[in-house]
Amino acid sequence: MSMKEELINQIFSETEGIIGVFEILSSNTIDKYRILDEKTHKPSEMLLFLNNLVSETQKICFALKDNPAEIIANSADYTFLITTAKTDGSSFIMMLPKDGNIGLAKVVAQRIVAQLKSK
Amino acid sequence: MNKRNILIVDDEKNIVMSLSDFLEADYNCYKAYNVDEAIQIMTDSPVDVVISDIRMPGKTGFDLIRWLKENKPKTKTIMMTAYGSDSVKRAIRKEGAIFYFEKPIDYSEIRNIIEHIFSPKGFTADLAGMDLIDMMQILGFSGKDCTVIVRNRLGETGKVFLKNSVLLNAETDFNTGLDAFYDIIKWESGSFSVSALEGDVKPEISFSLEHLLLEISRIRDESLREYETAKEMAVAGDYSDFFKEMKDNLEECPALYVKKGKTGSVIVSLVDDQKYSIESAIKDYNPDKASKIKLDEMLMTLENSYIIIQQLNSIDVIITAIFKKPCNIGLKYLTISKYKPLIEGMIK
Repeated sequence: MSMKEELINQIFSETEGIIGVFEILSSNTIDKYRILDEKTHKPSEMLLFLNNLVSETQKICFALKDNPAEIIANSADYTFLITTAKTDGSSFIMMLPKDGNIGLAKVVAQRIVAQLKSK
Repeated sequence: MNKRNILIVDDEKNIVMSLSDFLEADYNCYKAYNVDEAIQIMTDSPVDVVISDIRMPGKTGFDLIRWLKENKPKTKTIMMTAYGSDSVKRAIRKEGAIFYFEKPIDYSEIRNIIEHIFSPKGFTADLAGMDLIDMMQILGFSGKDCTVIVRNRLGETGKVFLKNSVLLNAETDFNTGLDAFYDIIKWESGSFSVSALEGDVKPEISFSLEHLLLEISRIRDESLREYETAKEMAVAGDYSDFFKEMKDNLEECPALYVKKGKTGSVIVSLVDDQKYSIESAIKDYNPDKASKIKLDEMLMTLENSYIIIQQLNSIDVIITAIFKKPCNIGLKYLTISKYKPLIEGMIK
């Protein structure tokens, strides 16, 4: 099992209610790691939305000449937490239900980002 | 809530004890084993309902009813007897008892009757299109003793207790007294009904309703004028003063942008510091492009700044506010949320 797979397992086991995890690749496209219920939460729709969302936020960051640390986006049904770990180029997106525990997700994400940075 | 007081009068002690045991979870039960004891209890303590046997040694239940009519006319009477007949029923009715039971007695039926006695009386109605203040004024003028029950669209319930044109008290799920009354009056829509004044209202306010309503009408008129001014600005296409004020209230906000979502046209662009001038990126910003998922809001935490983006999807407007770090971003978020309904009402 790769280190990233281990981390994904860790995210799912520690984040209550999490629906899915995605990775932002260095090409700025989004790759699906895991969605628990692909019938309810269609990966193609999620990828379309997240690719566009990440691209739009990057444009704003570029215009502002500032780097993103964390982005929380809410739709009617979901909360997306986008975190970055710049040192190894990894960024990942945690997808939770709208009323999900974003505080816990942030804590897990921060610890995993720290782990990635320390590797 | 204070328990209502019930007096049970019967020379058969087992009936008094068992009926008292049955009712005492919901009511304070006094016990008397003859009419003299009953009168003594009622002389010393308030009693709401008397449940009395008719045939007892010495004075009868009829004697008790007569005493009540003269001395405690508001006390309700329920009679019971093992010797029922049509003539007894007629006599009981004539004397003024409100209910009559033949022994053996079904205690549940007695409890139902007591609950009925204590249930609020009066008509209820939902009056669409009628203002709550208008309704209160009518009730105030009438001098009626009543409870106004108000339900807002969020499902919260409030009660206003009126007695002889005086506001005795008010309560909501979260407040009581004057605070609760102001909360209820601020609700913009919902329904209300009017019923008889509940019996055990603690008078926490005791202000003249007329005076209070005049004060509230004045405050409402001022708020309405502010809203109308904002709306007039919108009609005239001049949103800038409104958003300038919003930006000032946000504090530590060097840039505020408001744009139409689909067309991308920027309605307002307020920038204090050119470092935060990102109008072209904001103009192109469209996170919902070709997706079924529609974004409502976003908080971007950057290395040196925060960005809050609020999408008012009902009016296709996107608000973007940039804040310098460090700042209380939770407070900024709340402040923007406060403006959302006003903006939705203003920009169509």
